[in-house]
Amino acid sequence: MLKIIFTTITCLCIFFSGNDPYLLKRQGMVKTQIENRGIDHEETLKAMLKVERHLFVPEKFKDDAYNDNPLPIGFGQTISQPYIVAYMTAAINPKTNHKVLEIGTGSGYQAAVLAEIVKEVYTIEIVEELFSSAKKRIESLRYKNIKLKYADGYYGWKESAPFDAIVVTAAAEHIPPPLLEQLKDGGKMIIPIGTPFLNQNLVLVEKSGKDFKTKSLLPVRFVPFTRKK
Amino acid sequence: MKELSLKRLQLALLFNSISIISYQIVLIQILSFVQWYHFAYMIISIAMLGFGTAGTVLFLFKDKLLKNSSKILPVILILSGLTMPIVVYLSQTSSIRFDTMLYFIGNYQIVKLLLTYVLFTIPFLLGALAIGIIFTKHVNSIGKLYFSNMIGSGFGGLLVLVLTWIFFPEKLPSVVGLFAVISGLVLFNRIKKEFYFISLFSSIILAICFLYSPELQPSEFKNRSKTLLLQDSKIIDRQTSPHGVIEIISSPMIRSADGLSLKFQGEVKGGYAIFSNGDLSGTLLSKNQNDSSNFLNYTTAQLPFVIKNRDKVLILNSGSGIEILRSLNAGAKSIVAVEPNTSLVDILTTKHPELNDSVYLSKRVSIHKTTARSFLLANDEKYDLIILPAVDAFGGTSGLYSLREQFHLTQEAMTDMLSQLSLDGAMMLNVWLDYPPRNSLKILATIAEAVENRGLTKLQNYVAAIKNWNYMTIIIKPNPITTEEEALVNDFCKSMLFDIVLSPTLISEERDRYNKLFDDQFYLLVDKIFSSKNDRESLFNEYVFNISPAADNKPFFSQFLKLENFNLLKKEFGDENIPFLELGYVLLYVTLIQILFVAIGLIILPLFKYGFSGKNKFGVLLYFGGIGFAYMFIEIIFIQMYTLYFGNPISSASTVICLMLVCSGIGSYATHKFKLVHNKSKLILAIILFLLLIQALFLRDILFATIHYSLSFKIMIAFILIAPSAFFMGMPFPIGIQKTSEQSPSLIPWAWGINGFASVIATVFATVIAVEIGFASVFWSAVLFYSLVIISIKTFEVKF
Repeated sequence: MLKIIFTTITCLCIFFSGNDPYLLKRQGMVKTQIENRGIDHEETLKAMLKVERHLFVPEKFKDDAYNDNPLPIGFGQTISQPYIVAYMTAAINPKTNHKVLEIGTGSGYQAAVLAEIVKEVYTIEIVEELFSSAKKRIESLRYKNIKLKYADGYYGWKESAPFDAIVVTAAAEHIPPPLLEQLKDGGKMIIPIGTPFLNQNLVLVEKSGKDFKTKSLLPVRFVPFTRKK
Repeated sequence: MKELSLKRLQLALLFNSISIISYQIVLIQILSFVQWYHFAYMIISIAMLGFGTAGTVLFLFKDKLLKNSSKILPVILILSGLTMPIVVYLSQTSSIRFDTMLYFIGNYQIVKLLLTYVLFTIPFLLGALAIGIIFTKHVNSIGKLYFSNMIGSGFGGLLVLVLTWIFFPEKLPSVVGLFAVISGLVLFNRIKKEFYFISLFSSIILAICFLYSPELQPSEFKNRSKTLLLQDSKIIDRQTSPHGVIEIISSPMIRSADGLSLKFQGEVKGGYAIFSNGDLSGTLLSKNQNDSSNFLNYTTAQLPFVIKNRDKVLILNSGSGIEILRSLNAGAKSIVAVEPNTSLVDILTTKHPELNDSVYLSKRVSIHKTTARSFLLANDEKYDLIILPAVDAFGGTSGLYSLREQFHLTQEAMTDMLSQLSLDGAMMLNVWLDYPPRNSLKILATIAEAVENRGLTKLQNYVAAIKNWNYMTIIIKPNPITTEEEALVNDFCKSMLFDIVLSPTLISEERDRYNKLFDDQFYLLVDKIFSSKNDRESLFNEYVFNISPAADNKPFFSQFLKLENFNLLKKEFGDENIPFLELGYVLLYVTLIQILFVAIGLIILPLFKYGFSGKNKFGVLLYFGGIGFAYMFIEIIFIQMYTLYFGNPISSASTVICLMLVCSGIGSYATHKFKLVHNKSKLILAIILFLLLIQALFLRDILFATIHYSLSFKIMIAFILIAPSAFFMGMPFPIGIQKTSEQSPSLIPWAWGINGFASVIATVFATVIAVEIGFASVFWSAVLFYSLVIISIKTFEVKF
């Protein structure tokens, strides 16, 4: 059934896409990098197919945008590997009525993927230059349900809390207590945490009343790349 | 042309040797800062490569070089000094700068590495060529000349220690280059105008290099680089010492809370962190500044204080002082802080005590600036709690420290610690839960062995371990954990949402109650470690990584890679992840292979000129190669033994190198003074062997028996133990050179080159032997090489 839906959506996308030169690459990305690796969360697959990743990477990396790896976006930051974006999105099981907080806007790609699924996305970026460029990009793509803030994500977005889910895309050494507090009862948070600076685990945190449970989902690693200055 | 006097030559050799040995140590300092410590091996190799290449150049162009030696010598010595800062400057340019972490990723890193090799070889090649010319031309005075060479090297090793307290690494190449320039000027004819011109010119160049030294840029993968990317981060102070560069960086985003509970609702406040050579030594917590320590009660490491009050606490590698702060907060009455990095303690006690509440200056705290193991060996007091530094806290998983000796994590060390605990005492250590599990399993295996070494059974009765999502705290007791204590562990875990990994009456569901790992594999392996010795040993054999406990003979705790599984791991994790698996160990082999290729090439190369035949060449190869290998092996063993003895790795190494070289220099002088000739070779080698065998039998016992004595007494003991063997070990080289000059003078440069090359390979090879078989084998290999030299003299009728 899922395959039929997916194929139908793909056909519709092709029909309405006009001259999107990256559509085939995007389809390939979703099929081989995401679906074939076991991610079957329908909304996530749809969103990954819809959001044009090449619009979120620096011009010189456009042709590499759908490759199976992260890409540098400047200031020591990366746009995550497509699989990781899909994995993190599917892990929080987002629903159409959800309000989601993202920590680490970066290029804005993860926020855009979430915005295709949920009602509201709040996203925080600490690097001013990245915040400005992501804001421009999000506005130009007309995402009305994404709100951006330039701040230290450690403290979350208290005024708009609580959130149904929190997606932390920047590696942390511990789970920030303010974020736990801003999570709804029954809410989920996905966060890469680990030893300082090198190894991280993607950890899913679930809130139940005043208690929490964590589950290590996937070992991830800061893969070396040469930063373009 | 007027010949240079012997005294001037000796003086030039002295200064040149000071410069070369200092430069070698300076490069290690620089590369430890911009890259990682494993570069020490590469630098020693590069230096010796310069020596070996110089031997070959001399062998090939001997006539021309010797004929014009008075003109050539000052020029190459001055050039050697001038190139010292220049090549460092060039190596830091973006087109050449090499990054270890990118080695397996591409980006021309192999080309950059080779360029770095070539650049750094230049000053050594020039300096060594001068030594070679002097030795070859004045072979009749080889004893005296070799004496100056050795004394200079010995003195240089000590001088650079002083210099590293004064100058930052980027300034040092110009400073040590000055000594090489002086050595060249000593040989200049001072009447000529050129002397004044060259003096002025060289001084200006060195002054420019000193004043405009390059900014050293550490790898972007070092903790320091990543921290400086954080918002509003800045270096607020830096200090240099033989331990390297200590820096304090501030940023509101430096937040560290290892083993934190999900129940903690406050804020982990950011602030300051301290770095040693670009690696994180720890964050600086303070109650007074902005109460950044309030979370400590909510961490797994609070466990020992939850179970019991601890009056007397010993903290090993106390670093930034977090555990001191915890112990003070928990009411400890007497805290002994052991920290080998004197510079780190100094900056926190004299310049910035306010950043960690002056914990080191508390009346309840006494500081011991020595290594953890040396402290344990020298003291037999009992403690209520011994806190070890976190295993794999900073960078260990990346595999760059796989070749660093960690004597506090050997099973012997653990056994010692258990015997230094009071009746109800405990030791605590923390470990990051790595994936795939290595550190966590190896430390548990080491604990299991240490408990068993005390003749105890039912190991799980002595150990409790708890975890949050990625951090595990382990406590070990010399006596069984009581029911009351176990209940306290349970209560603590429930209140903090921690899980119990090990305890005497553990229910397996408790392991994943709040924090689930990827799968159950880790627990299965832990259970195997604690079930029986047989199960444990079969696990050591079967497991994909080396998790056998480290021992004093093989103290490489972070060495996990089994070479036979390298391809399997590469396939499983991908090329790009190799740096995170075990780069240090892999690079050791890469270095060995590179050096072997170059060494063989450059030793064989000169033979093309004179043909391969002739007994003498084989004899020369065996003799000079053998003594080169043996000398370096013994030097490495002595450094390792005396580091444990003195407790300070850097000053111990410098003291040993200085003592050995000076004593060998005197030995060399004695060959000249007493006209010792080749027929004494076998006797001298037999004496060396005898002295080494005596050391093999008694050295360890003597050192351990006197380890708690005063420093001056220990230096005296070290002198008594090192001097005789080093004195005789300095003799075979000048005697051999003298004999070669009588038999086949054309082979002198080649012999000298072989000796240099053997030393290169020996340095790297010794580490390979130590990692694979143990340090004791390195010692016996030295004995074997000296024996082979004796046999070669007899069997091959080598005419020495």
